[in-house]
Amino acid sequence: MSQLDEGQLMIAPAAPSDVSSRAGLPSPPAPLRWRPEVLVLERGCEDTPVARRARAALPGVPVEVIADARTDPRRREAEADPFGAGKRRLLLHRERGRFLAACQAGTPGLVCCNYLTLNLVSNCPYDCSYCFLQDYLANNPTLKAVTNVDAALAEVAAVCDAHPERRLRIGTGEIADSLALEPVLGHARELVAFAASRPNVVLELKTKSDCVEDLLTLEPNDRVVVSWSLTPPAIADREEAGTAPFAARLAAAARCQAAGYRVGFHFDPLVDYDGCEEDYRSAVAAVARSVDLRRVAWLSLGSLRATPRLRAIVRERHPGARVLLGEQVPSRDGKWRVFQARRVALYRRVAGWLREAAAGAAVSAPVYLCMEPPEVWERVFGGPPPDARALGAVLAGGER
Amino acid sequence: MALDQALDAAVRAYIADRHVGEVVAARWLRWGAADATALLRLAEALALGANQLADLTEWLEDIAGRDGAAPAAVLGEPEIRGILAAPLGRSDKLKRVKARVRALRYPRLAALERSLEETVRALDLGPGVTVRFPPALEGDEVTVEVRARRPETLRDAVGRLARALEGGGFDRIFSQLDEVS
Repeated sequence: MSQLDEGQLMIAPAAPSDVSSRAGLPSPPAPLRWRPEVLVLERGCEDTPVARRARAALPGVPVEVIADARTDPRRREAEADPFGAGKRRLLLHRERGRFLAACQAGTPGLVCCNYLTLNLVSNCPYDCSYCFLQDYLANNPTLKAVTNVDAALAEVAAVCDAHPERRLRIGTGEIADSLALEPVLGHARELVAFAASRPNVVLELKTKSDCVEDLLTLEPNDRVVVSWSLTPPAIADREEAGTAPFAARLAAAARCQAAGYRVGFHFDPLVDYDGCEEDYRSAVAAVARSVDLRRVAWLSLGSLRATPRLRAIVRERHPGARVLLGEQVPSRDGKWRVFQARRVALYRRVAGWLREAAAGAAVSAPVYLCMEPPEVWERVFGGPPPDARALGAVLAGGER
Repeated sequence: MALDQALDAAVRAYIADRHVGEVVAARWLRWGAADATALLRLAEALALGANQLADLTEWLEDIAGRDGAAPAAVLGEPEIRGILAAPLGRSDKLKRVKARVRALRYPRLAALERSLEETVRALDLGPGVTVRFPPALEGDEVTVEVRARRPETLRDAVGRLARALEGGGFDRIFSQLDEVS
C-alpha cells in the first residue's frame, strides 16, 4: 500500500476473490416489495450463502445459470428500455475486480468529503425518475450483486490496515440502494460485523427503503450509520417508484435508532418546485419528530443535478416527471442545477430549519453539501469549506 | 393523438427541410393539433432552425408541465403576438420571441437578469465600463471591465465606477445576486 496523497485515499488492489465462506443461512428475510422476473446465477455461485438466501427469498422466481457474468447473453440490445429491463432480473456473480472506489462526487472544482464507496450491488430495484444511474449505468444496466462479500471486506481490511491513523467513511449506497435488496441478499450481516471489528471504519448504509428487519437482529455499533435519502412526500410519491413512502422511511429510521444504530439523512436531491419550501420545512419537522437528533451522524443537502444525457433520458423514460421543471441551468461541471442564487436560497432555508430543529440537542449533527463548489459552501454556511480530509474527519466523528 | 394528415405532412416537411433532430421531431409530432399548428406557424414565420426548435419545444413542454399553459396558449399570448406583428426584422423578432418564452420557462432567473441589467443601467457607468455576470448567473462573481484609449476617458470611467461603488450601486448588485426567494 503506498502512502496517501494529500487528502486522498489510495485504493488497494483487489484481494483475491473467492466464493464466500460464510456458513449457514442468515435469519429469514423480511417481506419484499420487489421481485425479479428471473434470478440469474453465475456458474460457481449457485451454492454460496448469498445465492441460497436469494433463492429462499424469491420462491417461484425462475433461476437461470450462466457461465460467466461478464458475457451475460441476455444483454440490453434486445430491450426497448434496457435500463428498466435491467431492473427486472437479478444477477448474482463473483466480482473479479475491485470493490472500493473513491466517491465520484469528488469532481475537480467541487468540495470533496473523502468518501469511499464499496460496490457490492450495481443498479437498483427502484426507479426514481431523476436517478443518475440511468446515465451512469446506461451501458451496463443489469441489476447485479456480488456473492463474494468476503473478498470485498478483505479489500477494505487492507486499506484499513494500511491507514490505521485514518477513519474511513465507506458507503454501499452509491451505485445501488444499500438496503433495498437486503431481504434477498443479506449482505448487511457481514458488513455490520466487519465494521464492528474495525475501529477505523464508519460504514454508511444509505437507502430509500424500509428494509431494516435484518439490521434489527444484529448487534449495532456506533460505526454503522443507517441513512435515508429524503424528499418530501410530494416528490417521493410521484418520482421515486418502488421506494418506501416518506413516513415508512422515517419509521424505519426510528426503529434503527431505537435499536442502537446511528442514523443520517440526505435531503438529496433537493428539488425546486412551487411550494417546495413549505414541504421541506414539514419534512425537516417530521424528521425531528421521528428521531433523536442528538444521535444523528450527519445531514446532507444536495441540489438535483443532471448531465445533459440524463436530462434526455429522464424526459424519455419518465415523460410525466416534474423534477426537471425547476429553473436548471448548466453548471461549470457540465451538470444542470437550479441556478445558483435560487439554490443557495433553498440550501439556507433547509439548513436553517435543520439547525432550528436541532437547537435543543446537545450535540448537533454536521450539515454538509454534496457536489457543490466552495463558493456555494461559503454562501450557505458563511465560511470556506474545510479541505477534503478535514471534512471527512468531521463526518467520520474525528480523526483518530 | 395523431395529427391530421395535412398538418402531419406539413410538420414532417418542415422537420425534413430543417434537419430537425429525432427527439425534437418526435416531441413536435406528438403534440395536439392546436399546439403543433401554433409552432408550425411560428417556425414558418421566423424560419426557425433545428436548435431554435429544440430550445422552444423543450421550454414550451416544460411550461405546459409546470404551469399548465399549453404551447398554443403561450405562443398566442399578447406579448408574443405583439412581437410578431411589430415592424421588426426576422432576427429581432426571433430573439424577442425566444427571450419571452425563456422568461416564461425561467421566471425567477429572467427576473433576476432583468433586475441586474436595470441596476447596472442606473449606475450610469458610461461606455468605457462593462459589468458582466457569470453565464446563467451560475456564481456570484462580477467582472468589471474598464476600457480607455486616453487618460481622460480612463479618469472618467474610473470616476463613474468610484461613484457607483460609493453610492452603494454595487452593493445592490451583489445583494441581488446573493439569493432568489
